[in-house]
Amino acid sequence: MRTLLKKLETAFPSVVHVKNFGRSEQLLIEVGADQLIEIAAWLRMEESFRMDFLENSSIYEMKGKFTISYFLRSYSQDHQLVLRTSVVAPSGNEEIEFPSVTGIWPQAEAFENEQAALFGVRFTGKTAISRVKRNLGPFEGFPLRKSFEWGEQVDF
Amino acid sequence: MIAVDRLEPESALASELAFCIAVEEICNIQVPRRAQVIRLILCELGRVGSHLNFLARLALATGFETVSHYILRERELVLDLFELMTGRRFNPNFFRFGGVAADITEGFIERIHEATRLIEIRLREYHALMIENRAFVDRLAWQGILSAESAVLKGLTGPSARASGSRFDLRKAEPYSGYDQFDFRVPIGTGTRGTIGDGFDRVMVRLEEIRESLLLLSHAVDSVPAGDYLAFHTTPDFTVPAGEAYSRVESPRGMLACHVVSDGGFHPVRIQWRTPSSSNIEILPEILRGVTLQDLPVILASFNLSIAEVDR
Repeated sequence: MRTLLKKLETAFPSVVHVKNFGRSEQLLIEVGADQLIEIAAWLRMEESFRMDFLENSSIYEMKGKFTISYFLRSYSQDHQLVLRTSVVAPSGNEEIEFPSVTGIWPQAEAFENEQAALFGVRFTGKTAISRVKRNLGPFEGFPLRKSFEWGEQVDF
Repeated sequence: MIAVDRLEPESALASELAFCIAVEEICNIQVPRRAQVIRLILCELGRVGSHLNFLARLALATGFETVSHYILRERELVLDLFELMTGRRFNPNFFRFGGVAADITEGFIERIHEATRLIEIRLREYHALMIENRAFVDRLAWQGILSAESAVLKGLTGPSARASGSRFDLRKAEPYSGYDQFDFRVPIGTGTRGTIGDGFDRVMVRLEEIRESLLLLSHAVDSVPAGDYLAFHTTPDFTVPAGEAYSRVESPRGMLACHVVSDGGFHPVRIQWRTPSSSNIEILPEILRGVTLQDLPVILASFNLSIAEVDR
């Protein structure tokens, strides 16, 4: 996989940072948010990568940043990668805009719908508007942000 | 662990396993071999129970109420085995970071052998009552056809995707908890009565998976290694060091993944779940287009979606 990644580094010099994901041997590619769609599309289409399955997408907030991870798998080439980007966390209940990857991986629909409702991310460039809004109750804000106040009105 | 069980009560141990594997990876905890096999046994038992429940629901949806009662009778056997081993029929709260909460209960292995033999016999009865019954086959064959391409495109995993011809099973692709020590087959859809990927294939794949799990169970209980069942006992002030891990397991409904992030504090920064049903449900708008009302419950039941997983 390391040799394959050289191709990526050649195609996108100085915008890609590769390291191990946690303690695992799986590789993590960190890219800038502005380059995400271009690199994601390249990983999906490039013959030697063919990342045809977005098995998961996850957001977490730490040290004032939203970190978005895409867990990718190639059925045809039998390898995996984690693609990651970070953006500055917005203040208060302000929504944050982020490019949608549903055009590259339609599997992202379910993950993006959830992230939109729980983290207040507005995904741009989507072909369809989210139909799923989780019924969490009558309150303002986004419950998985660290700034969210757990008042009495939040009833699960 | 109690909260993790609630993710999907039918396959609670798969959720517990995914969570434990992720935390163990961050903490660099080596799970004893005995504990791994005990976990495998309980997860396979959970798979048998979940698939039997699926068959019972499908029998109800197709109007085979008597068969549904027969199947639930066998599922009771599985729940009794859970009770014997973990003390609970549901929400077992049995896996721990570094192993399991208790060693194998006396008589558990003998009871597993008895149960697997009996369920194997009963499977032949279900085969005669359902699979050889034209009224049942006609409700499912050529219904809700899902192509392999659509399954990949929408991110389907598990038996519903394998019924469409996918061979992907995490127990084979990335063995965890000692699955690589055992030989088992991964059934895929063959289109025996209709076409590949129809409702009938989804039933057949799960029936075959029950058989494979029963064989796996009989082998596993006979080869439980000696040793500890828990690497260490966690204390109330247990904290996970800063780091992150991502684990995947093959739950009865498909790929269940857990992303855990810790900053070294007392509470996790994030525990995120990828549940199979929340991805599998995305196929419904495509599959249900043009379906007649009387076929709707049968097709929905054939996908075995869990709303608990979708709305977690």
